Amino acid sequence: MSEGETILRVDATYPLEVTDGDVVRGGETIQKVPDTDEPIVAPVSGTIKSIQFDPAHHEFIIVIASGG
Amino acid sequence: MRRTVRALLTTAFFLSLTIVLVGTSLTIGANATYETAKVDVNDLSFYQPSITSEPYPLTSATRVKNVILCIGDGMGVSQVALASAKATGPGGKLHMERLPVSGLVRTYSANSRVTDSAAAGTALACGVKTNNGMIGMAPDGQAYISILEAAKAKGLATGLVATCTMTHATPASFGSHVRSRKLEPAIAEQLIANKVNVLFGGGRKYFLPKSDAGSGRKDEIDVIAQAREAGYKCIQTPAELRSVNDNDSHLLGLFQLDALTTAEPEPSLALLTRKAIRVLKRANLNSTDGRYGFFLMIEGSQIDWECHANKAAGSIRQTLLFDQAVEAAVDFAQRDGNTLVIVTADHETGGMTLIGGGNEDKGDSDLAVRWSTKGHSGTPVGIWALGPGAMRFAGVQDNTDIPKKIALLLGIRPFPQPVK
Repeated sequence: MSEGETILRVDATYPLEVTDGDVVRGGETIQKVPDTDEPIVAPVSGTIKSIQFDPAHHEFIIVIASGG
Repeated sequence: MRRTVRALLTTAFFLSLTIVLVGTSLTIGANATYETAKVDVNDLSFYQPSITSEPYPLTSATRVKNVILCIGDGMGVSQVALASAKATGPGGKLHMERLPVSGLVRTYSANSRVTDSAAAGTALACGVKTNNGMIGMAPDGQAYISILEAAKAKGLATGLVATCTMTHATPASFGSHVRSRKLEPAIAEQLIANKVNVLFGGGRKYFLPKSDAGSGRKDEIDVIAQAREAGYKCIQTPAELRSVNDNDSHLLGLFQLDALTTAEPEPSLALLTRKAIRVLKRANLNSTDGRYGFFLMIEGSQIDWECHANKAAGSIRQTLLFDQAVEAAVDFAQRDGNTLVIVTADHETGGMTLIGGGNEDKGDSDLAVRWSTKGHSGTPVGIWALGPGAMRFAGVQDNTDIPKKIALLLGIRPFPQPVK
């Protein structure tokens, strides 16, 4: 991980609301989970640098470059 | 001559692929967990295209004795079309595309337009819609008997073959019932307790006690020891697979700690399929009077993973590896005459779209692909069928209809059926 990058691991059971290159604000919804009132949100503002899938843990690994 | 031209064209297609991943690994974030196979994804020489694109013949037989359900995880219609175009050229067909009956399958889950493999696997196995993440039960937690379990109760031998961990969502849906797909240690115990005759895949780590190197468990339960006590022969190498006697009625073959690499020297999905069929055919003869046949589920698990990574070349390779397994199933079915083969997918992954290229007449052998997501999509997937009862799978259907139709053909009633 480079300086200014935040890595977020998100369960891959539901689709993401963001894609590579999207600019997000801290608190913006990244994933909606049915039957809950608390979506997964971006912890920081920035640009979605990459999204990778980890099949062993069934998670998305989202890299957010701060300040985007 | 036509075969030679076809072979040359196919070779040209292979050479046209541009993504090379020789000896590389995929590093996933700060806590890298999964290493891709050390293979050249451009090398598709393992795949032998059909010499004809004619459909396999329809059968006049009506009695279904054996069922082989082949599931390509994440294999949408575009994934099939791309692999077909690359491997067989214009006008060619994959083996799965030659099955004489085809249709479409809707894949939505109980709580999402876009399913995951757990809810889709549950629909394909149990005939009920459930929430994403849940295995073998309805959203309210009521477990439902899977078609594999129902077949077993009727006297059929049963098997699960996959290239992921045996405890991953799709195989898990046929042999276990848990609230969360992440409960892989519990799934491992249930698969053995269910006495599925053949379990071939990866994921040995969930069968090893915590104190063993590489274990993925948080307890000291030794599921492999439990399997041996239950009568399983446990194997983990290609040599051990070769030495298996077809008379062994229960086999636990876990060829990696984690998912399979899908590369040599590991046994291929096609080889595992052929072995599973031989063992299941024999297992049933040994355990009953042989009337009942077998139910086998085969999964090409890693099409999904390549499409999550939006890697077209990897998707092609995994689809062709899966198609080889389909060919093995079809070979058996054609010789047997009373075997129904169904090929489908749990969902599409990546939102793959073919956007151009591939016009050989203009010297353009590259196919252009665009992706719309790193996750799954909600588009319907294809279904192809061969053998007695195949016509029931024509047209547009829901994924929950598939095990219901299999149950009907095997004389299993009622289905779906809650676990009491």
